[in-house]
Amino acid sequence: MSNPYRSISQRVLLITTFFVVSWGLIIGRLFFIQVINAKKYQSKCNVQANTKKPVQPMRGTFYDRDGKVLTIDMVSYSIAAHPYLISNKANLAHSLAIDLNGDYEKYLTALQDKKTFVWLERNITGERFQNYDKYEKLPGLSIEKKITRYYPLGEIMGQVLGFTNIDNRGACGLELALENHLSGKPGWITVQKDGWGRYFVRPDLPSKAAIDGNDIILTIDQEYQSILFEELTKAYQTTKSEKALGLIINPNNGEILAMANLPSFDPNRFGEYPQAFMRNSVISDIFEPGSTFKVVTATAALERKVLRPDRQIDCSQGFVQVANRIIRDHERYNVLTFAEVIKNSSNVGTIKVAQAVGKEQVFNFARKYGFGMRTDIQFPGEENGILHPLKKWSDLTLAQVAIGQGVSVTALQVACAYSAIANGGILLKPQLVKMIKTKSGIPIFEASPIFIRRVASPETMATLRELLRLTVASGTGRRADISGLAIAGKTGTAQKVINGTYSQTDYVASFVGFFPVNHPKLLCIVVLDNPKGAVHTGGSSAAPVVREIFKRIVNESDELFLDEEEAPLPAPVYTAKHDNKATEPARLYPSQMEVVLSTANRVSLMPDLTGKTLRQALAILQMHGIENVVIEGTGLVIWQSPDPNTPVGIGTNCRIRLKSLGKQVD
Amino acid sequence: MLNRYIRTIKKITDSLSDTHTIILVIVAILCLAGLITLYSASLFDPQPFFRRPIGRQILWVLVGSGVAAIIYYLNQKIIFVSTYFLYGLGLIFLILPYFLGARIGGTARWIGIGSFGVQPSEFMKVLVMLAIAKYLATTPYSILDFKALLFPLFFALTPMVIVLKQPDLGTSIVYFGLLFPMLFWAGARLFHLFIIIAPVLSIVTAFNFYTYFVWIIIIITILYLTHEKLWVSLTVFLLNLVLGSATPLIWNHLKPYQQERILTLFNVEADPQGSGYQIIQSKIAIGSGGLFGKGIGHGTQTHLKFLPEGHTDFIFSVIGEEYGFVGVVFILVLFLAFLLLCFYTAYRLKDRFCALVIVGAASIIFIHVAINVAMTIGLMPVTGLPLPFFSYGGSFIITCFILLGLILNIAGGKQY
Repeated sequence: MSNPYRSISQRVLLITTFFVVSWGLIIGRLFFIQVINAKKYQSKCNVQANTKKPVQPMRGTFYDRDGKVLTIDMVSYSIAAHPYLISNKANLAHSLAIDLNGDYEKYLTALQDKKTFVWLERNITGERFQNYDKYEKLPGLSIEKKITRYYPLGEIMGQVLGFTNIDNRGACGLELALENHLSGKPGWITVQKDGWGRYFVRPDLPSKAAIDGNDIILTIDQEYQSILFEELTKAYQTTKSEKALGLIINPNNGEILAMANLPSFDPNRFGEYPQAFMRNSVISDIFEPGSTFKVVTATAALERKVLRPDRQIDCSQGFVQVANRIIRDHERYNVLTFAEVIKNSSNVGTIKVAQAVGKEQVFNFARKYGFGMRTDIQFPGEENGILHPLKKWSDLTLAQVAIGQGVSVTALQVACAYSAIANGGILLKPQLVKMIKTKSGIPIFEASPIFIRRVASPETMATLRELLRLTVASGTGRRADISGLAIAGKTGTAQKVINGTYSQTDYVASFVGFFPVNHPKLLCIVVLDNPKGAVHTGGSSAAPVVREIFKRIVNESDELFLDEEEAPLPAPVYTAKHDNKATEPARLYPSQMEVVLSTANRVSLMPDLTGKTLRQALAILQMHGIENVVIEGTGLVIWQSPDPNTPVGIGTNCRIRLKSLGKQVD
Repeated sequence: MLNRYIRTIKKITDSLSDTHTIILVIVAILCLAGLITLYSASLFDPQPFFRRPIGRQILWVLVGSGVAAIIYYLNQKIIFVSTYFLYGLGLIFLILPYFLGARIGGTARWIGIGSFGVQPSEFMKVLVMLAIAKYLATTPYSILDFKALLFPLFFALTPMVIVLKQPDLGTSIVYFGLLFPMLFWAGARLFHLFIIIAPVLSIVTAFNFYTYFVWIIIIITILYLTHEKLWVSLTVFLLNLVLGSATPLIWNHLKPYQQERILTLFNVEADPQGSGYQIIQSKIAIGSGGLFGKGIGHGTQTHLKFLPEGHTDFIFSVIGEEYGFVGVVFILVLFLAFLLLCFYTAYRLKDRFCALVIVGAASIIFIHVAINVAMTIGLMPVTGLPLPFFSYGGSFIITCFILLGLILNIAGGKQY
């Protein structure tokens, strides 16, 4: 190193080596990153750039039984912009102003704003923004699509339909009950995100289509619903009731045609109403039924043949002492026939009948009618009602229950019980959903009548219907009568229990009626909670409402034009009706013929009869149109042919084998 | 007919064997690749073409070529004579931004001329190199004497301190870094180079007790092995000890972003949204390019703006993502070929000034490429050095062409 100029070639070599080695290091590192670890970095790259963005499905639509739309999903858009990303601001403002029919100046000032994010339009309707596609992918614009559910009937269907919350999920009513059907399954699309956090839709990348929710066709008839709601509103206002509720049901198949209660709420503006208004009181509120419950005692007496309708009953001047309580009538009757006891709604007479029948049978028939149990209708928040167990019954309990005190019911339970009277003795499950089908029209559920149990024989029910017809024709329900329509029904006026005692001023007035009496097609119940003023009884306040409803329905509906004969007078008829007749199925359920025919026309699935009694089994088969039944043995069904869920239709041969399980079940 | 073709091809190969034609071809390829990359990086820029980086860069490349041509035809003597004058002028311009410069991004690097900003610190790189080369070529001291190194050190450190104040860490590294190849080439003793580099390493290693400890042992070992005079060794040792101990104070004096940039070297993944974010995104970009790249205009890292500074400091990441390993190796090999050709030329030249200018010019290019690429792949902290012939930036691309002009001029063998 003494002479630097001599070592120049060494130095060049050293520097060259240094350069080559550093290049080698860099290339080695690049090889490590780009070739060995390429997969790792590629996946990192994709993870941060590509995200799945959910695509919301369309929610199912509600229709009434005639296919009228009950819910509308409205699309609305909100348009925002990142002004710094938009080059030609004037141009964009101009084209937006044309497409949205909006204000050019407003858009331009917004776009020239120094802010990084400005709103151009919020919540504009889908109709106003039809050129959505044109702007969807424009850089610098961000468009939010929002679906709002609109309920055209507003408060008329408020509690029945319920509403959806901010996430477009059902919050109450049928929206909640059928959420699984309505909501559908969300899909997703791949969205590319950039380093500034903006998103770009990339149709070329993988995606999954959303599955739309199913459409639901309700049993509700929009016209009936409107009529019911309007008439209830009138009654609610004139009687100044706390609540007014009503239900129209087809007693032959359990389909609910209208269901309303007041005060109502508008699901389009649900935030403005108190929570209490959203309750569907028809199903969720219980009340003491009062006289409408007397049919339980009457059914027991008739079915067990304890009394005949013409049996005279001593009403002991309008009061009776049970235990240490005195129960009075509203009028002082001396001696009434059983028929007149029902007709005039005599408390004393009913108690006497109940005492003759015995508490076991009264309890038994209350249970058979379905009181104290949910109907299991597809609706959230249903109440059981209260029917105390038999072992807790005293003599006073029997007397009270006979006249509808000490029990609590829902309006729906009363309607179902009276439907059993109307249809000849079969308790049916009430139904709100007629059909569920996909958006493309494939049906996935179709309602058919669901048999729960036979309450009493058709003869008993026919007698009872005549008694109820008498009630309307000349008894407490006179104000529900429409000449020529043969309406049958029963009033109820119950004192409300306030602070543990029966109030003398607050009542629950109700009326349940159906027509025509011999082959009922419609059944309607109206309950007014605490009507004010002179007219507080069911006969004076609720009965006229039902009459108005029936009148309007008959006027507006061609199908229901009726030419029912006047119900015959009671006395001579009753004796004749008590002959025992053969219990062959076809005659057992005369009022069921309509249903039988309508179900027999199509192929249905064989029901599972295992564990059913013979009567139940025959009734179920009857409803499926199967009349050729070979019966082996007695007791409960243990075997059947065809197997459950195989298609059957009219004329199918069926065999059932029964075996006694030690005790007889009726 | 065939003969004509063969002759044409022979003519081309003949001309190619000429060193500076090869250099020219390499630079042309690099420039073209740079423009294509820049075009891709600004593909989705909504501005009109000539307001985009690519449009402006084309303009700068044309201006730069003109400047290179002028310098190529300049008499070497003019360059030699005016070196110190230009260096002094450069220093004045370097200080100017503090008085009238527009501060861009909190830094005083720019002098506004019309609508363009000029960065004097870029041109200063050339002037520092020329000044050092001239001094080393003309100094009366033997190169083995440390006194001969004092002026070059002064030439480098003065602009370095000014630029560090701006603050611009990258450029100051260039001023300092180009000293070493030039001094080494000139024949300076390795021990002297060690004395110059030692303080820097003392500062860097002082951040961690263990690295500092090891460094002190290395100093002792080297001092022991070189058998220098005792007072020299002791002075060097104590100086470094004091400097290393004072480092925490100096550290606290640094700007937070500079602190961050230095810290990034040691722990990249700790701060994904801070300065580490750039390196992580750069590595993802390069790594996801794989062997053959995603193709021009298909780099998602670049176009989805995950990669910051894709057209300036991190343009190499764009190359990595879109051309893949094959592409970057091709580019790097071209750069290496360019550098080795320069050294080869310098080695052949008799004239000391000419050789040193070429070595200095090559060193500047080398420092830029090495530090820039090392930065994008996480081998070095983010120092903000652009990639020659690729990164967008007027002052820098013109500086590169000035270097090219000097190399071609001097390699051409014209005597002054």
